[in-house]
Parts: sequence; C-alpha cells; structure tokens
Amino acid sequence: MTVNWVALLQVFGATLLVTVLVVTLFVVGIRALSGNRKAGAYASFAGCVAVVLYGLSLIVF
Amino acid sequence: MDPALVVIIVVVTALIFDFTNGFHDTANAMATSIATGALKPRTAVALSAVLNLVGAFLSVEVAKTISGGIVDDAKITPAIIFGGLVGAIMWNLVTWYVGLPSSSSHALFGGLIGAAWVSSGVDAIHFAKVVDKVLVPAIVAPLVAGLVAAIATIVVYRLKKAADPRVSHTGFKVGQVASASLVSLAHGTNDAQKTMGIITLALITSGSLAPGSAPPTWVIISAGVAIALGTYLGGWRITHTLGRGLTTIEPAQGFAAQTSTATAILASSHLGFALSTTHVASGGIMGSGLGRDRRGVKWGTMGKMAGGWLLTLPAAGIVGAIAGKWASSGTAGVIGVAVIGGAVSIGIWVLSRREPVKPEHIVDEVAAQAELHKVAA
Repeated sequence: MTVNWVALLQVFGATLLVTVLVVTLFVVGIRALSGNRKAGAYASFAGCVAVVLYGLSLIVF
Repeated sequence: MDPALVVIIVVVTALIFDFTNGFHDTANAMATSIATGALKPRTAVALSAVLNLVGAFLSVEVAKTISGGIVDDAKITPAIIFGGLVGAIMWNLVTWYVGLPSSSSHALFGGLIGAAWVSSGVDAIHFAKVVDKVLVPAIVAPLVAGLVAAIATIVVYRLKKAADPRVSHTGFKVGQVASASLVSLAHGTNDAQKTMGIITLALITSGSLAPGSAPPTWVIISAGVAIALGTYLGGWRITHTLGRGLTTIEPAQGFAAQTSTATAILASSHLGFALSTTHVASGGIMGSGLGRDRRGVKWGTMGKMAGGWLLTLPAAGIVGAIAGKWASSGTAGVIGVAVIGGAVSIGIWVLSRREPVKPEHIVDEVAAQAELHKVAA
C-alpha cells in the first residue's frame, strides 16, 4: 500500500504559496488604496488576478 | 433486465445525486458572502451555479480516479453501482433530515465500496488506491486548508492594521466575493467530477466504453448542468433563512479562509484526489478562526463533528452493500431498490415539509460552524 506523499506535499506547498501570495498582494493593494496610491493598488490587484489565472491555466492545460 | 436499461437507470440516479450535491453545498461557497451583504442572494446563487458548471469542464482527473481506480471495473456491474448510488442518496437524505453533518462525497464512496465489496467480493476493491486517493486526502486536505487559512488570516490581520478601516471593509467584501467564486469553481472541479466518474464507470462496466476511458462529453455536460441546477435551486431555500448575524465571520477572515479552501481543492482536483469539499471548507473556516483568536475554537464540538465525518464512509457502505446485493440479484432487485429508494426519498421530503423548516436543515455545517468562532471583535 503506497501513499503518494509527494503529491500531498505538492498540494500543501502549492496551497500555502498561492494563498499567502494572493492574500498578501490583496492586502497590500488595500493599503495602497487607503493611502490613495492608485497605481500601486491596481498593480497589486492585477497581481492577484494574474496568480489566479496562472493557477487555473495549470489545471486546464 | 436489459443491461442498457440498468445503465440508463444508473445515469439518471447519478444525475439526481449530483443535483442533491449542488442543492446541499451552495452554502459552502456563498453563505458568508450573503451574510456580510457582499452579494445579493439572487446574484450569489446564480454566480455559484454558473461557476460550478464552468468548474465541471476544467478537469477530469477526479472523474478518472473514480471510474478507473477505486473498484475493479471487470468485477462489478451497473446494477451494483446502482445499489451503491441508492445507498449514498439514502444516507445523504437521512443525515440531512436529522441534521447530522455528513459529506456527499464520502457517502458516494462508501456506497460504491460497500456495494462492490458485498456483491463481488473483497477483490473488487482496490484498497491501495482507496487509501491513496480517497482516505489519506480526506484527512490531509482539510488540515492543509486549515493550516494555510490560519497563516493567511494572521498575514491579513497583521497587514490590514495600517489600512483605512472603511476602505478595507469594502475591499475585503469584494475580495470575499472573488474568493467565494473560486470556491464555487473548485467545487465544480471536484464534486461534479464524482458523478461523471460514476456514470463513466457504469458505461465501462456495461461494455459501452473501454476501461480507462475519460468521461465522454455528454457525461461532462449533463453532470455540470445537474450540479449547477441543484446549486441554483438549493440556493433559494438558503436565502429564505439566511438572515444577518448567522455568520460571525468578518469579510477579511472569510476572504482568507475561502482563498485557502479554493486553492486546496483546486490543487487536489488537479492531482485526482477525490475529496469532500465540505470538509475542506470546514477546515478553512476553522483554521481562519484559529488564526484570528486561538481561544475562539470549541474543540469539543469539532471532535463531535469529526466523529460524524468518520461515520459516513462505513454507514453509507452498509446501506450501499444491502442495496447493491439486492439490485445485483436481478430485475426484481433493481426494481425493489428503486421503489424503496424512491419511497424513502419522498417520505423524507414530506416529513421535511410538514414541520417548520429548521435552519439546520438548510444551512449546512460549514455555515453553522462559523458559530463556533464567536470571537470578540
């Protein structure tokens, strides 16, 4: 009976990396927005969208 | 009975199961967004339905796990699959009625394994695959989602201190809608797949498809549509009772919890791990509660719930075993299982309509769990 621990570790690694990246970018965007730094805010939110789309593209293709 | 007819019965039953799955799980993704007022109920439910449908098309890995791995397709028949499905539906309906937390996915696996085991012998089950693709992920994925949600919540709450509270409140509401949408999408990639896998398995065992085939397009479309319809219609019941104050989750916390939930499900779906999306969502919410306030989690209640989770596989297995054995005995068996299954379903539906609708019938355990984290603001 073999359990594919590597795959489970991949799930953990990917979840940790992507989630922390997305929430950090999002909060940074909100901070920029409250400081009225529009360009920085939009760049952060665009970063979030890019990470999500990249993740989905990995699944589809 | 004509094998083709049995396959048709399996397809219809599997789609009914898929519909109830969507019906039951809408709250997972959208409950917090509706409760915080981030989305209007009508919009939330429609959005969730569409994204479930889209998610069904993104990946077929989980469907392949079910159709080509956990049971030996050479040793079972469509009638056995039918018995397993009826077992899963019965267990789902009964637990739904009495308000016991349960996972539709585990009910399905339990029913299928129980039916195959009793009707075709222990050799018909690939236990190594069951452990690798179902049992271990069932334990690991909620823990992963919980741990990551805790870390994400700590990060969010540290960083948002410096932000203008009004901007951050509105901002996180938007973020919550986006993350809830991802959860709906992820739900489609994992839960809709289970029905596709079952239908594909039935087609393989009847000889209509070669072993190891991926689900045909019509199977993907019908499973996606069934879960989307269930999500849409189930949502209407939820919106009637989902008042404000049900959820004590703040938008920022919901955002962190849902982001980790969606990511964990999507990553698992990609690797073919068939898991309970309900359990992962619960793990995410608990983790984020822990990240916000370590004293906010009621461990006793969590233990009781974990007990309920553990019970699902064997209990649905027993019901599936009885139904599968009977259904595989011949035409009379299939008809008998169908009649009793239908009667129990109608009976529960009538019972549920007779008494006033209780919140625990409608809001599933994920939303209810938010009540465990009544953290002082």
